[in-house]
Amino acid sequence: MLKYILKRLLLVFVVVLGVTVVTFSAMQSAPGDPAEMIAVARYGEDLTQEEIEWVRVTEGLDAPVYIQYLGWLEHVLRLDLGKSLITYEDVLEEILTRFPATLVLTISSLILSLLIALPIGIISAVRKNTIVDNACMTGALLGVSMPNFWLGLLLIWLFALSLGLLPSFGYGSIKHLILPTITLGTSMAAITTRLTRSSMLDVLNQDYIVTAKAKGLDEKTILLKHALKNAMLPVITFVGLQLGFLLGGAVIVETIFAWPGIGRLLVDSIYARDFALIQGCVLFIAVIFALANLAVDILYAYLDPRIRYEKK
Amino acid sequence: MTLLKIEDLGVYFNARGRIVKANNGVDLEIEENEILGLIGETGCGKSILGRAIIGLLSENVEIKGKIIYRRENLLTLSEDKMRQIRGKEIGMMLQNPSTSLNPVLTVGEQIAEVYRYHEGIGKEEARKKAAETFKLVGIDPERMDEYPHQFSGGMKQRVMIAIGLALNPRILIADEPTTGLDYSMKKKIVDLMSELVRSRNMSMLLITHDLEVAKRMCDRIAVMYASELLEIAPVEKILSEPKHPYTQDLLDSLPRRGLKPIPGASPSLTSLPAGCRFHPRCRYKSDECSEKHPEMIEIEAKNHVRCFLYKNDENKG
Repeated sequence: MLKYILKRLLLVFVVVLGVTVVTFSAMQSAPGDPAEMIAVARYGEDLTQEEIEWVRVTEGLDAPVYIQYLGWLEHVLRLDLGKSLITYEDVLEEILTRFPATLVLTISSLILSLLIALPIGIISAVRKNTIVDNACMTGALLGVSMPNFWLGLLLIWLFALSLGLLPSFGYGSIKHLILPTITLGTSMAAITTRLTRSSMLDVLNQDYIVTAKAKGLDEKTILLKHALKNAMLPVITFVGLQLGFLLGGAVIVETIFAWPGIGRLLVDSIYARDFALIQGCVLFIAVIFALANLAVDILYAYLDPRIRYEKK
Repeated sequence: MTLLKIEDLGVYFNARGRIVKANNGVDLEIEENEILGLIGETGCGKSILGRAIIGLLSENVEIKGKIIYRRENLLTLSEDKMRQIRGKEIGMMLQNPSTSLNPVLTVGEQIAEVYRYHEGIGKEEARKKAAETFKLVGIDPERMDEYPHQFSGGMKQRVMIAIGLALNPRILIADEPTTGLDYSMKKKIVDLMSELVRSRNMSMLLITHDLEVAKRMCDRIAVMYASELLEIAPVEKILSEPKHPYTQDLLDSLPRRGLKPIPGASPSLTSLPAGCRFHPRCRYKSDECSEKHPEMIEIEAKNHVRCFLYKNDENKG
C-alpha cells in the first residue's frame, strides 16, 4: 500500500512539472509584449520606450525563454511564486489567504451533496421503478438542469430579499455559508445521486449479491456491506473530480455570493491582467487538482483490493 | 425418505411482453442422503429450477406449483422465514466462482459472516469456525485474509463449496460447479464435493451439463429439456438403458460414445413447440407427438419417462 502511494505521489510530481511548463508557455504565447503589458499595468497607457525596457530588464524578460523558465521554476520550487505585478503583494500569500474560503465552501458543499446523494441514490436503486424512485430521479434531473447562477439568484431572492433570513453575500459566518453551500451542494448532489443509483443497480445485479442472498443474509447487510462498497468505486472517482474542480474555485458561485475564494481571485487577476497572479493561481489550482486525484486514488485502493495488490 | 418435493412447478418470466416459460410442470423429489443430478443443455431452465427452490428469482416472475420442504411450501413462506432456510437448511453454490465471490471482501470474511449472522457468535469464534471450514475444503487457513482475485479458479470453487457447506445445510444446490476447471481440477472438486456431502449425510442437487461429472457423483439423474423434465432414473440405469429418445441422443453426443450431435436446436423458451417439446428433433416422432403433450409416467420402479413410446398399464387401461 505504501509503495502504491509513493508511486502515485511520484506521478503527481511529474504532472505538476508538466503543468509548470504549460502554464509558463501559455503566458509566453499570450499576445503582445509582456514587458509592455506589465509596464501598462503599472504605469498606465502613457509609456515611453525606456520605461518598457526598464521593465524588461528588471523582470528578466530579456533572457532566453528556457532561462526564464528555469529561473521561474527555481523560484516555484522554493515556493516563491513571485509578486503581484500590480499590488506587489506576494502571490503565494495572496492565494493562501483566499484558499481557506474556497476550502470551507468546498467541504461544506461536498458534505451536503453526499448527504443528499448517497441515501437517495441507494433508496432509488432498491426501490427501482417505484413512485419513490421516479420522484427522486425527477428531482435529480431538475437539479442537473438548473444552472448554478440561476439557483443562486433564486435563493438570494427568496432567503435574503423576501424572507430576510440570510445574508445575500459576503464571508465570515455560518450564515454566509448556507446559500452558497446549498447552491453548489444540490447541483453536485443531482449528478452524484444518479451515478449512485445506476452504480448500485449494476452491483445489485451481480452474482456475488445472489451469493450473499443465498447465505441467508438480510437486506441491510447485503446492501450496506456487500453492495455499497462495490457501488462506491465509480462514485468516488466522480466525486474526486468534482472535489478537484471545487477546490480550484467555483468561479460562478463565488462571484454571485461575493465569496472571497480562489475562483474569484483568478477572475479578478485575469481582468487586471496580473500575469504573475494568474500564473500562480493556475499552478496552485493544478497542484490542488492533482492532490485531490491522489486522494481519490488512495481511497480507491483502500476500497478495492484488486488495485491495492496491483502487480508492477 | 423424501426431503424436498417439487410439485408441478411452473416458472414464467415476463420479458418485455413475451412470456418466457422457464419451468413447466416439474415434478421432482430429492431424497435424504442423495445426490441428484439435473442435466440438460444450456438454457433449458435447470439453473432456474435451482434458484426457484431457494427463492432467489427476480421480481418479474410468476411461480406456480409447490416446493415442499419439512411440510411447508417454500413458495408461500415469508421472506424472513426463507432467510432462515437459505444457507442453514438449503445451501447454494452459484455458477462461476469468479463472479460469485465479492471482490472487495476477504474470502475469510465471506465465510465468517455466515457464522456471525446465523449463529450469532462473535468475531473471533466465527473466524475460528471459518478456518475449520477452510481446512475441510482444502484451503490453507492462512489465506483467509486474501481476496478472491488472489485465488485460482479451483481455489475459488473451494471457497464456494465452503460457503455452501458452512452451516451444514440438509441440501446443497450446486449450479455447474465444474465449469471453467481443467480436467484434473474438475476431478478433484467433484471428489471433494462427493466426499463432503456423503460424509455429512447431506443431499445435493447437482445442476450440470457435464454427463461425466453427473456420472461420477450422482445417485439419480433427471434430464431436463426445454423447461420440462423428460426422464428421471437411477444413474446406472440411465447410462445403460436410456429410455427417452432425447436421453439416448444426449448420451450418443458424448465424445466416448461417438460425439454424435443432436440434429436441430433447442426451442426458445418463449415459443415452445406444441405436443412433445422434443418432437421436432426426435427420430421416433409420430403424429401423436406433435398433437398431444405426453405426461410423465413411471414405466419401472424409480424410472420416469415423458414419451409416447412408453405406456404403462394404467394408461392402457
